[in-house]
Amino acid sequence: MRFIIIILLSSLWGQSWSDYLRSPVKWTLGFTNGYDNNVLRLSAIEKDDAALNQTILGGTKTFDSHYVRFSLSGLKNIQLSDREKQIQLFAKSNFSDYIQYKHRRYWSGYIKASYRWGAYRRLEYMLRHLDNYYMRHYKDLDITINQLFACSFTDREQRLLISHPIILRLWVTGFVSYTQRYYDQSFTEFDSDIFTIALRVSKRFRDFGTISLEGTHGIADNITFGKGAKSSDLDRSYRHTELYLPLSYDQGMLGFEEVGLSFRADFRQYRVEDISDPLHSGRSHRETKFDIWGEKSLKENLMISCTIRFRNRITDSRYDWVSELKSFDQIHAWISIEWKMLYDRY
Amino acid sequence: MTVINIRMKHCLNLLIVVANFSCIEPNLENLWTLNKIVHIETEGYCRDVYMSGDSVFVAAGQAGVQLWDISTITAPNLLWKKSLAELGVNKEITQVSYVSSIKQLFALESNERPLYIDLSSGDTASVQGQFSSEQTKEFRVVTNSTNSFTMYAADNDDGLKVSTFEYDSSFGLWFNTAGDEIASVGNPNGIDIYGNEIVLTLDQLGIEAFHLENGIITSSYHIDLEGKARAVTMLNGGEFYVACEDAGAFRLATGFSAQSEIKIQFANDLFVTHIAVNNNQLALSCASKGLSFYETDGNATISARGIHDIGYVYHAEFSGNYLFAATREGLQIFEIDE
Repeated sequence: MRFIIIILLSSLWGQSWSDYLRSPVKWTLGFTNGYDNNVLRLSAIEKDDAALNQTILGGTKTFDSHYVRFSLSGLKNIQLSDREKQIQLFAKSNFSDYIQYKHRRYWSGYIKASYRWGAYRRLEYMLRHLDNYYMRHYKDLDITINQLFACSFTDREQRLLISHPIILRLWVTGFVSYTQRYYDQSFTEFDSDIFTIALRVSKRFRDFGTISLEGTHGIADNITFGKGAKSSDLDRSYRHTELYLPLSYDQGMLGFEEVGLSFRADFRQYRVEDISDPLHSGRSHRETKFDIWGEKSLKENLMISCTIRFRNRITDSRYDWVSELKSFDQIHAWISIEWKMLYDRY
Repeated sequence: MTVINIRMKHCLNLLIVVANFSCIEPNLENLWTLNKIVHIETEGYCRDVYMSGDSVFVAAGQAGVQLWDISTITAPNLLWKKSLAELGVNKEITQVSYVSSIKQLFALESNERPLYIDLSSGDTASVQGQFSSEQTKEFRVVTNSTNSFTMYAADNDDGLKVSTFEYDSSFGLWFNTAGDEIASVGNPNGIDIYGNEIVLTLDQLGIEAFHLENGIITSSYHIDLEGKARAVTMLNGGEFYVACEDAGAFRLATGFSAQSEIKIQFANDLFVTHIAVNNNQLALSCASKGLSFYETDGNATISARGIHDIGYVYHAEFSGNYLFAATREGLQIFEIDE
């Protein structure tokens, strides 16, 4: 509380707070129309089983779904007296609705506060929230034998990021994040705290675009392991390492002003080595995502973007049935339209 | 080089405060934990248990009948046991019931006739013999006076069997003085009684309720239920729980007709053979799946509170703050931690 009062009462760099707040707010209204061909991330064997027993689909009749997403974001730049320094406040909220999957209807959003003190120099705190994200129906073995219940989780992530230039148009970005992934009442045995550290090197080429390379390492601690009913007797902790390689070209191509592609490879290894838990024991997976996108401004304040994502997960396990059960393919495609607005009361 | 000045330090402090308040709390599952107090080896399968003060009577299957003293609950003491040969029967013992006011112990040989054991002579257990009807599945004993009792039995081939006994002090024996058979809609395999109301479970045909008035028993209503009605636990004359094997369990609240005021099915995917009730706590015996707990608010809400794999459970009973579970692995005594 002391710090809040100090902040509120102090005059920053010789100006009052109200002086700094006299800057416009940029609002962006977004609408996304998308398609997901494998909402529940079902493996081929599960799709075959679903033909005979549809309970795995949680009341729906299709594997795929059309979805819509509405978003609203606001950006406020507070220019400090030193022209190179500014504070940026940004907030974005999304509401997503999968038309064929009534359980997957959720909101998400994040706020971030950045302090910039020059080109590629940035210190940023971000708070992200994903609310009640439905995965699929699973058995709650603590209270039932066969009945399936909707399984959802909520994410709360806090991220501290810093960016700094190395040489001209080459900069490095690092962040640490702490994610609390807590499941709904029936599946708290999966609750995890995830610590992640990442480092990204980016290079901007004149008359081309930007290329980056990011490495991420995370440790998920299954915080309910051994603390609940029988289902919590299994440790779901894991480690993951991710490689991310995005490339964007901003010189125009195929009618788009900017196009890009990215490749993301994630390797996850579960900690448990328990023969009584064949589903997780010694299990690992390699997941790849390949994105292609293009952006175009239709008007000065209206932008459209198209993205297609190919996702593939290959699971390794000493048990063939686990490998078959947990491997899947997915295709995502979406088109987003963003309408930018400016609110300036001065 | 970038220097963090004092104002920036305040900003960082603010971030730390914000970060602290940004955490979320995990959800709670509201499951009950089971703390095992003691596990009693009963030699045969522990099929049923009956508590009377510090005395615990055990229907020990093919090991006969046993009496344990649990005055020190963590160290039960076997007072006596009667083998099948001593009891004069051949099959396993599946039910026991003790009536302290007349000091008579009743036991049931599986699918045969009940037998009674006189415990009125101190620690001596004197087997008096079998009575009532063959193919008895379950029974209840009600005392009429210090010299008289009536046994109500779910007789699988005759319906509701009623046998009244009176003590003849000149012979020092109990004599069967009256009896009756009331036909039921189906073949009974379970029974419970509360006051003047009696309910029989009828396997695939659900339950049938009877009313006792001036010594005359009449059928009140019949309710068909899913699954095989196996055991009934009455809360009062019009409310009861019915274990329906592979259809789970039902809570029924009725008037004096088959028109149920409340009919709630729960534990649908479990194989339920018996339901023990202790205020808001329900303990379901689920055969090879162990014990399953549910919590009731007394109305329409019954919430699952966890399954515990403690072995093959036939029957469970609450007594004091403990739960006694009759299992193939013996008698297990637990405390429930909500």
